[in-house]
Amino acid sequence: MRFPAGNIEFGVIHQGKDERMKYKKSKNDIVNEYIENLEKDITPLFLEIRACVLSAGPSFNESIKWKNCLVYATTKNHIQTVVGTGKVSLIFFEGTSLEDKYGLLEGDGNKARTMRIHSPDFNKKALTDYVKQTLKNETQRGKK
Amino acid sequence: MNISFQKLKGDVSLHLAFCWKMTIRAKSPLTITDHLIPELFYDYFFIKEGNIECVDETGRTKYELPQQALKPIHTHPLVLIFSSPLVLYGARFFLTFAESFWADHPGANSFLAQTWVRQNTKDLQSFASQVIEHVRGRQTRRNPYPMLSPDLEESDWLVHYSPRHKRRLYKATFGLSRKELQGVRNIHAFLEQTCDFASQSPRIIQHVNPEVFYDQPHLNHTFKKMTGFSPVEYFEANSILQDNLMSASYNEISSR
Repeated sequence: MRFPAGNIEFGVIHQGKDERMKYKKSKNDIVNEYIENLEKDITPLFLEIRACVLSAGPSFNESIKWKNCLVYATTKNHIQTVVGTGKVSLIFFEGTSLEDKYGLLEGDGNKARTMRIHSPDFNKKALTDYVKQTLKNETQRGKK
Repeated sequence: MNISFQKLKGDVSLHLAFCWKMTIRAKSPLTITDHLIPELFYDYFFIKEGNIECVDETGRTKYELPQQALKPIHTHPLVLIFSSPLVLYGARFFLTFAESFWADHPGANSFLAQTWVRQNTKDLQSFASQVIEHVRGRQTRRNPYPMLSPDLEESDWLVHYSPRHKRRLYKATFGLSRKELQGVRNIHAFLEQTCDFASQSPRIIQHVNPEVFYDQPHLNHTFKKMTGFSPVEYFEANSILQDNLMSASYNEISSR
């Protein structure tokens, strides 16, 4: 797992007797509490996705919304993470404005699109691209 | 924009759920709009740096928050406009706090200017200890026993009072009727669910509790009146302080 360089505080999740998971601690205590209380089966996948999103979008702030969803936001909410059984879904609130080169975005709504991730071997290139596009679109909207 | 949120556990004997500190820093000064929805908590705010403007569209008022203020229960949404850089401290109290509040009564739907902490408060730990000291020294028990259970069930000791007298008691203690308190509770009964709206389009109907709302239009109407949003709009809306306070509160309630 790669983290951006710098002076970073790490958290440790005790998964089992010998298994410990390190993760980059959030600036938001509630997010850290949320991560520590995740089901241990889904935690590695969740952390892998989180690291990928934060690496592609270091300007994101994290918070917990609707009791159980991690939200990545700048001045507005952009991506919401919903943890399901054996999977993590990422909802891109402005998903229709993304160019889906990888064909991984699902949904037919007016605005949002969902990327479902089931295993740690997920397409990191695709997720990075979607996150970067999300932030680029926001910057372009801000300039208009 | 850089946002941090720190939380410190409170003291249940003082009805204090937790204390928190939120910092918003940005490269250039900016204003951020935050939406507060009604909740069954009392919040104490201390604006250490920056300022906050409050817009109450229901009451058609707009005012700057005092540096230290107590927010009692609101039954309609409020808009807070933060100007960065902002350093905001807060203490969140359970509903039962109203029954030990030392002034006449905290009322409802308006902020009360207060001074509980010193201007030179340096960190969250120091803020929390000042709040605890202030509340401990002043709290007074209004009634022999709590009036309501956490589920807002009326306590047995009120059974012999007339409905009129009970209405007066509720109004004097909370500034609101029990029905109004239940209205707020019903909205949170919906919000406390772990709604998975990741499916192709959100299906609110699957999360409507028939014991609380007759149908989805009933939920939508009540929700919009109380929060200013439809459930789906609320799901997508950005509300930094509200989201953090709410998720921290749900954690506190579930751990009680």
